Amino acid sequence: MTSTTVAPTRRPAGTSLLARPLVRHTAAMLGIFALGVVAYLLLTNLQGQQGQACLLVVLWTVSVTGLNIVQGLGGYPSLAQASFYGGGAYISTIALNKGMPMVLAAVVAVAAVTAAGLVVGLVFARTRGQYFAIGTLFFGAVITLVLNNAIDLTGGPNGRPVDLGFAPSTTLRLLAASMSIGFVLFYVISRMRLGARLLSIREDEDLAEHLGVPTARTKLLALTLSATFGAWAGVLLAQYNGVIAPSQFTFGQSFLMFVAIGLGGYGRLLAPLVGSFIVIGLPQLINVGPGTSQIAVGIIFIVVTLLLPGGIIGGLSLVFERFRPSRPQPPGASGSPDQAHRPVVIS
Amino acid sequence: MGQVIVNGIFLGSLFAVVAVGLTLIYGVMEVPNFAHSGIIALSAYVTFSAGQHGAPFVLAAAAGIVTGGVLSVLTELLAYRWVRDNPAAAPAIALGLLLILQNTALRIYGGEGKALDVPYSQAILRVGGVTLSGVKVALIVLAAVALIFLSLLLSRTALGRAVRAVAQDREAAAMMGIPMQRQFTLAFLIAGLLGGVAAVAYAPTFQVSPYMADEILLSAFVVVILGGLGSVLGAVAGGLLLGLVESLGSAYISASYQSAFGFVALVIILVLRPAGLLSSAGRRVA
Repeated sequence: MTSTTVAPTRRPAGTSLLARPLVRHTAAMLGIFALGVVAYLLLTNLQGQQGQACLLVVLWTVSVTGLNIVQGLGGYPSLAQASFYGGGAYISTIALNKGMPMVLAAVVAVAAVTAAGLVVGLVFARTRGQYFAIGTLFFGAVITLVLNNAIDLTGGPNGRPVDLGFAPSTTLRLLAASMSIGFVLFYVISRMRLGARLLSIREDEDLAEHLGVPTARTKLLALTLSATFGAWAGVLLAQYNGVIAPSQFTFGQSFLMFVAIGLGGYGRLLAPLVGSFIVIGLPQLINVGPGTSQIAVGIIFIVVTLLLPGGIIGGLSLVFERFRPSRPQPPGASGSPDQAHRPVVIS
Repeated sequence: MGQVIVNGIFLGSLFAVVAVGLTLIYGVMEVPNFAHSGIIALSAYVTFSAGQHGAPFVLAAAAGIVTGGVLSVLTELLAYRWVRDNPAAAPAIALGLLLILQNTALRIYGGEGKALDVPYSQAILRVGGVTLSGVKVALIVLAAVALIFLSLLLSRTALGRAVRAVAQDREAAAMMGIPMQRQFTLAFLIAGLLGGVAAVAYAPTFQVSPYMADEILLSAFVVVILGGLGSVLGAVAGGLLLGLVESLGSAYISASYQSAFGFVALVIILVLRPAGLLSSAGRRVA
């Protein structure tokens, strides 16, 4: 984290209303609320293929927002997110089936998956960089094994039906609300001390440790939070879909969630929405067969990683900065690629 | 018991061949090459379709192995090369490549598994009370030959010394005038060829499918952590150890959870010995 980007830059009075924190936060909240309303309108009005695409994008956005905490802010590639998502779906379904009321089943599922995230974190939060990726990936593979083999509970590879807990209209309302609330939580977390600590880990973990950032504990907390988000998205998925199967939660899906963050832009507020739209929404809308769309996603992802390290949102904001007339900028914080590849400012 | 141990050696040889490729690439370039399982699947498919078109088995196998090498070098040329100075982006590139490779296989050959027939499919080796199919014997022999050849290459030739130098310290090696680019390409070539060997040897015991190598890749990554990075000997020892653990686990506890025992082993290692079992100094795991 370079000091130039962190230090508040003194702006001449009256350059921009958005420079004032209170105004900016309010604007962000209003924007998030508006997004939720748009999502609700789309969810209730779109039919068929488009409705399905919209639903999946909203669900994935909730789950990937959790991933955006550990992977986006902290720079730690967690490849277990689809397992948390699946955990929420399966545990809530099983609890509902055992006769629990829906609200209790949802609470139980989210709590259990959060606890699982805590355990995974206790083991792997100490590991560095790519070992963390390998460890979480392996955890995801084991969960897939369990979902396929514990047939009494999960119904095996063919999956199992889900009892109706929430009325369909309630589920849709919850979906739109969850997306907005998820964004608000991420917005708050990224501005709290936890967010600052995660950013410092992303920039230079050794340096962060030397400066007294409790790196292992911070990563642990971030991973646990990501599990909570994933579990809640899973609860909603099960309720909407009516049937769940292990193939929805394989580590291939975890890869795609990882890809969604990279495409949107690490740590960007709206990265989950943009990324989920490309990764899961577009293949639903443009019907070219499963293989082809995934190849396209792979190519787009590599090109974005190579050319736009700030993701699509990062790239757009660079373009936007370019066309903005003479805004006072601290030296070095302009659009040079060196600075751009790890944006400290979260939009 | 003897049967279980022999099965463990079979699994271990397979893990070792895959893990040595991963550890070489990680050693010189710090890339966790998730794309390796896509390369293995495509190599197996090439062998399969060459056989379908009437090529004799030796030729088909050679085609598969060469495909592994070529594809692996291509991933380096087209993608990994450009993130060499930014290891944080490497997992992302690896996952993107995996998506491309596996779905290319899915697109060309379809999702259902195919059986790869080899001339030695029916052969069975009996020693004492232990039986072992010809396919498994062939894999163990192939793995041993490939690994001995590789360790001779690494320890006895100038080329191998250069690879090891880069793995130990990139900057220092560059200062000594070692052409870096060639070592990267070489590491990917070796890894790809080994992947091809693994594909040809392993496919007859399983089936050819786009996702055939996913679980092996996971186990191979555990081996890489077990054996310490960049060490061929460590990868072989770690591979055999993990093969035995998984074989014992699936024989005495539950066969459906075979690769979960690898995960348990990984967790135990990370809790007890965060630096890996045989790691020399250098990189930090935790």
